[in-house]
Amino acid sequence: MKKKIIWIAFFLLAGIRVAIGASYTLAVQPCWPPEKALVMFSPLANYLSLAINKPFKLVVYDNAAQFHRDISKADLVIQDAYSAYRHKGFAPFIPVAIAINKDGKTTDRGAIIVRKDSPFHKISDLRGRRFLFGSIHNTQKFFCAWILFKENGIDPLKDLSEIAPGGD
Amino acid sequence: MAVAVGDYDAGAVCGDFFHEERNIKLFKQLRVLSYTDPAPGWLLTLKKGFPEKEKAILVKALLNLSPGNSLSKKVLSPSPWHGFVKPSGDELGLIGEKIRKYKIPESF
Repeated sequence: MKKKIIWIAFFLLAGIRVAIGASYTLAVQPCWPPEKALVMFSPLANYLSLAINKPFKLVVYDNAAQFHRDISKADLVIQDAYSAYRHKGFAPFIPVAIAINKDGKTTDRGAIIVRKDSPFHKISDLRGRRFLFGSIHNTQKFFCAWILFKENGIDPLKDLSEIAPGGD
Repeated sequence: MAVAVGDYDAGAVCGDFFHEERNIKLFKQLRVLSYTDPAPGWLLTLKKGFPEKEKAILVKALLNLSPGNSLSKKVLSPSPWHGFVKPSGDELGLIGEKIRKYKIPESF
């Protein structure tokens, strides 16, 4: 009897391993807290699993470095356009769909924020100041922000006193 | 947060930062200095070499999530999106052009 149970358990576990091995991975670029990303994209992963008749495992990250390290292992990735461009050399992915945001657009923009009581009112006021970008793979918080500085005559590498990349 | 506590004089955030509930506490301490120009947004990207037959099914399933239909509402309601459309094909090219034009470094 004991032997039988052990064999049944062995086959069950083997079956689970096969099922895991046959699954695909849907990775999400970190831009939201991981617990929020799970809620946001679980229905999509389930929907795609049903469509393709194979499980899509949803993988979310709390930091850009981990995402960058793991991206080549994923099958489908939710990532912004700048990330897709920067990763295309070692993790070649083909864009197959683009999201339409709540404004009905396929484009997004970033924003530069300051403290409410700050004396800065225009981008050129930030010359010589400390600036925090988002992750170096983020469209809105890095790519767009960098362009905004350049268009306002500021080279972030030379004209800001301190720059740092954020975590997502 | 780092800007709110004064570690940095300014910072970059997503355009919808002020629409996110989790940032409500920060709203009172911060203001927008400027918005950036728009850039291509969120893509669903599929690994090169993904089985063709399954790729076709997957792409069809994604594009069935068009804005406004009941299926999209069901699947995407917790997400920041209304649906998906086929990419123009210029998205990454546009990013590449701007990287060259503005000399955007890969890291710093």
